[in-house]
Amino acid sequence: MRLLIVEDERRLATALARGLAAEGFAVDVTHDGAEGLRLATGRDYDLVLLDIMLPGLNGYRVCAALRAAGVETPVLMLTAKDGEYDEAEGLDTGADDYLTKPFSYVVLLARVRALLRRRTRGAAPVLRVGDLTLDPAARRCLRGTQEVSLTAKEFAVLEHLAVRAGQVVSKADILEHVWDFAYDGDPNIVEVYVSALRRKMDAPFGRRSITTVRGAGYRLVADGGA
Amino acid sequence: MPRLLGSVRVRTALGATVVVALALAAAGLVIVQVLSAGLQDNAQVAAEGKAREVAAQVAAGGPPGLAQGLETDAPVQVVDGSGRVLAASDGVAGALVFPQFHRAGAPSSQPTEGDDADGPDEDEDGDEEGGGDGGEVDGGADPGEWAGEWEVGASVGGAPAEVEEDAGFRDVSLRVDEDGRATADPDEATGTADFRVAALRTVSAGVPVTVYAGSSLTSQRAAVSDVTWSMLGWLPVLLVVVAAVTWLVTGRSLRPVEAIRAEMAEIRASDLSRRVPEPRSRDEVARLARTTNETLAALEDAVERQRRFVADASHELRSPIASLRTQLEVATAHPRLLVVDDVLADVVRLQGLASDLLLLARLDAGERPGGTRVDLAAMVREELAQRHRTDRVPVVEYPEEPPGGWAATGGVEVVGSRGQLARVLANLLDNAQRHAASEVGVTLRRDGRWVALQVADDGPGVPEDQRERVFERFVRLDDARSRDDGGAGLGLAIARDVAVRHGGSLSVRRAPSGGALFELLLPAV
Repeated sequence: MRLLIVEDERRLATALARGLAAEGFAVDVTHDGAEGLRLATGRDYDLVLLDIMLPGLNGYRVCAALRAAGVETPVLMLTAKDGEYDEAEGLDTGADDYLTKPFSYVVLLARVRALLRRRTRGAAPVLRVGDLTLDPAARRCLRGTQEVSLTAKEFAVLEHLAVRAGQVVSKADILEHVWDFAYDGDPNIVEVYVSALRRKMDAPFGRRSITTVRGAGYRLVADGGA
Repeated sequence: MPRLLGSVRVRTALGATVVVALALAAAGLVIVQVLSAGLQDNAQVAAEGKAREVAAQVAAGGPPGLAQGLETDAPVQVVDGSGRVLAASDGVAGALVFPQFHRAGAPSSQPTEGDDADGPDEDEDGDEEGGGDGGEVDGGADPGEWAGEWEVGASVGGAPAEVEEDAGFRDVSLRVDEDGRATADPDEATGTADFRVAALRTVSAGVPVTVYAGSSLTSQRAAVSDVTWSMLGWLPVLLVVVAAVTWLVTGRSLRPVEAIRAEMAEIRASDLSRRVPEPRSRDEVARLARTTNETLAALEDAVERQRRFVADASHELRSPIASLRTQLEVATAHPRLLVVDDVLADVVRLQGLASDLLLLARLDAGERPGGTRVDLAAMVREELAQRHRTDRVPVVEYPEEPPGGWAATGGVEVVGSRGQLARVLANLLDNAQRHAASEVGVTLRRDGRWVALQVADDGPGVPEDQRERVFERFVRLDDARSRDDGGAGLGLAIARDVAVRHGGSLSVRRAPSGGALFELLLPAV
């Protein structure tokens, strides 16, 4: 899951980005409204965290411009403006949720997950693919009833595949949603993670749920090899 | 009752009514007095006229007996010195009805009564019953003496005797019949009535006589009484009218006051936008309403300014607190992600903001600056020495110290709070360094009775239409700059407040280099 933080409080934005990255999200940060708009329209983000009082272009206008450009990415507004009309205006310009500063990091995380859940699979808090269960809130992965221990990155790759279960997902797509643009290493890193996942959640259970579609990418299937 | 008197309307109506009542009572008294006196004079003139007429006949005619049966409505009697009635008008023939005053034959020195109805009259009234027999005539005066003294009467039967010039007067109560005519017959009498009686002495056929003639005071008394009663009857009506009119008029003029009061009662601090109604008149009430509204406007302004300040302040406080909270909460979840320097930076920023807000609150509360002498030259030197080591943009002092030192031009010392002035300098330098491209210049000089401190930068400068706005609280012109390194927009506001509190000023204009030039003027010691 790849997030964009548009926030001019540099230390707040940095701390938030570090925290979210530690949760397994790919996070990009910008401190300027216009730059934020450029990034959000140019890439396929899963969620935008948007401050309202921004230099360059304020949050309302960024949000309105995103929606006008047909970008459906969920927007969570973060602002020190706590007036009810400010909040209403934020939601009316196309934001999906609104958090007043100072906010609880725990609540922020929960809201981020809720927004991502809505976007990817509706209301269900856990993902199920066959006997594979993914709980993004607890970052737990179960094969049947047995827990599979995954790193944050591994979990993020698996979640990305699980959201699109049955579909072919390209390496580039995985790379874009799981790694932020601070990563400029080898795109083959995806292969490394996929093989780690196969080793942890397929091999011990005699499954082959992640299949390679040559020249296209990977596919997660429910009954692979069962 | 005290509650009722608490109303201006009631008090005014009562006061007006009482004053009018007193004035009317006094006027009524005077009117009755004047009327009474006038009518009494009329009665007196009538009585004297009749007496003089009869006296002339008596003096000219034969013996007084011939004057019997005088044809007149007024009671007339001609009486000799011994109280014998020589002649009388109809009704009072026979017995003497008048008290014997101003008697013929009496010494001239005997005082004659005035026209007042005073004490002696009462006595006469008392004697009047027995007046008929003339019993109390004291000391039979010698007619000759009187006649001699007046030098009349000598020509008995010859030339007419003289009639005395000055008549005597007295109010007398006489028996009257049912027509109100005086009567001597007790059987005919139905009552008594007051008469004004004139007495004239003359000589009839050598005998000194007194002619008494009366004029009824009944009609005069009746007129006075009529007037009195009609005035007393109208007085309450008039007073009711006065009270009612006063009540209505004060009510009418106080109605706007009541409207103002009602509106004021509705106005609370939460809703100072309301105004009291201003009457269209141009009187005191209208001025009161206008002044009240001006006060309300000023109050609303102050409250609005205060509210905006609190809102801005809480908004400004929110940002560093949010930043701190997020950093600490992230660190709670992932302890290795804690960046102590960032947390510290936010704490420092929070501290700066808190002390700025505190200083502004103290300045707003009107705290007087201290009274110490501050040498600005030394202060600038200290501040620059501190900044030299760390700053991105160097601050250069352009000394304008005249040869021979500051003392030659009067020095650059000012009186005030050292801490606050140092704060102004620091704020100006911070602001200049934030915007400068390569250099900040500080100049200090003596300008007449002012000490001028100029801080110039070579940045973009302040647009002309924003040169006052930069001194407003929480105003940041550099929108493109991030919040956490741009300050809260309080530095210049504080600097100006402090400058003004020290009796000086702070303004901004274009520096020769194109940037902003802030000039602080403070009164020199």
